[in-house]
Amino acid sequence: MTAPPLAAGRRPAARDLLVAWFVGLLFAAGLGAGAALLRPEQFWLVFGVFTACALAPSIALAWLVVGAGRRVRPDPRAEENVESRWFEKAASGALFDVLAAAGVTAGAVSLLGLPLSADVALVGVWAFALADGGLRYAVIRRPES
Amino acid sequence: MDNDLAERRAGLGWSQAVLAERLGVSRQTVISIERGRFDPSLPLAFRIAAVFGARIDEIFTPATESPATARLG
Repeated sequence: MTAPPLAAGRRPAARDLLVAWFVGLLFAAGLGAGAALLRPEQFWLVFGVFTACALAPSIALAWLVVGAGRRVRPDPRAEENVESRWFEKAASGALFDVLAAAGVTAGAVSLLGLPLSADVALVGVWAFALADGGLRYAVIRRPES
Repeated sequence: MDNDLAERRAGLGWSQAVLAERLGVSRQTVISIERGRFDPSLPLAFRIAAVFGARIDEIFTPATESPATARLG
């Protein structure tokens, strides 16, 4: 069996990556422009912050939609791997942690009459779930690897 | 469950990576099964048995419980 030439294998990957980066950048800039138009008093500041924040997820989305990600097929045997079991355990544990933390926080905010805006609360829940799930996965994985 | 996967694999001179590739799972999955920390699904157990040309119950046996563990259960 002869291996395919390296150059032939690399060119499409590099092109896909460039396309994903370019489309992602355009999309993020579009989101930034949209947000900036809603706050014209600080146009360039809002444009820069929103574009920067949206850049990574936009590139990931572009990779999935127009890049090499569209050729990736899900592994039909993924659930048979131990990593899948670790992820399920971490995710289910994190869900209950989020429910408990959200309940305690809601109670404390209500009792103490603290001002808590919706965007701060949502970002807090998102960040807590992400950190808790990641930490749980690392703890589950550690003794087994 | 206990198993003799590591002995069978070593007997054939295969690395964990080779066995993982033949089974279509990750190398970490093979490591965890060999250590008895992960019980494979039934389809995977059948594939393991087929790879080694043995029956499932020849490879996997119920875990031997220590007296302390048995009292707790």
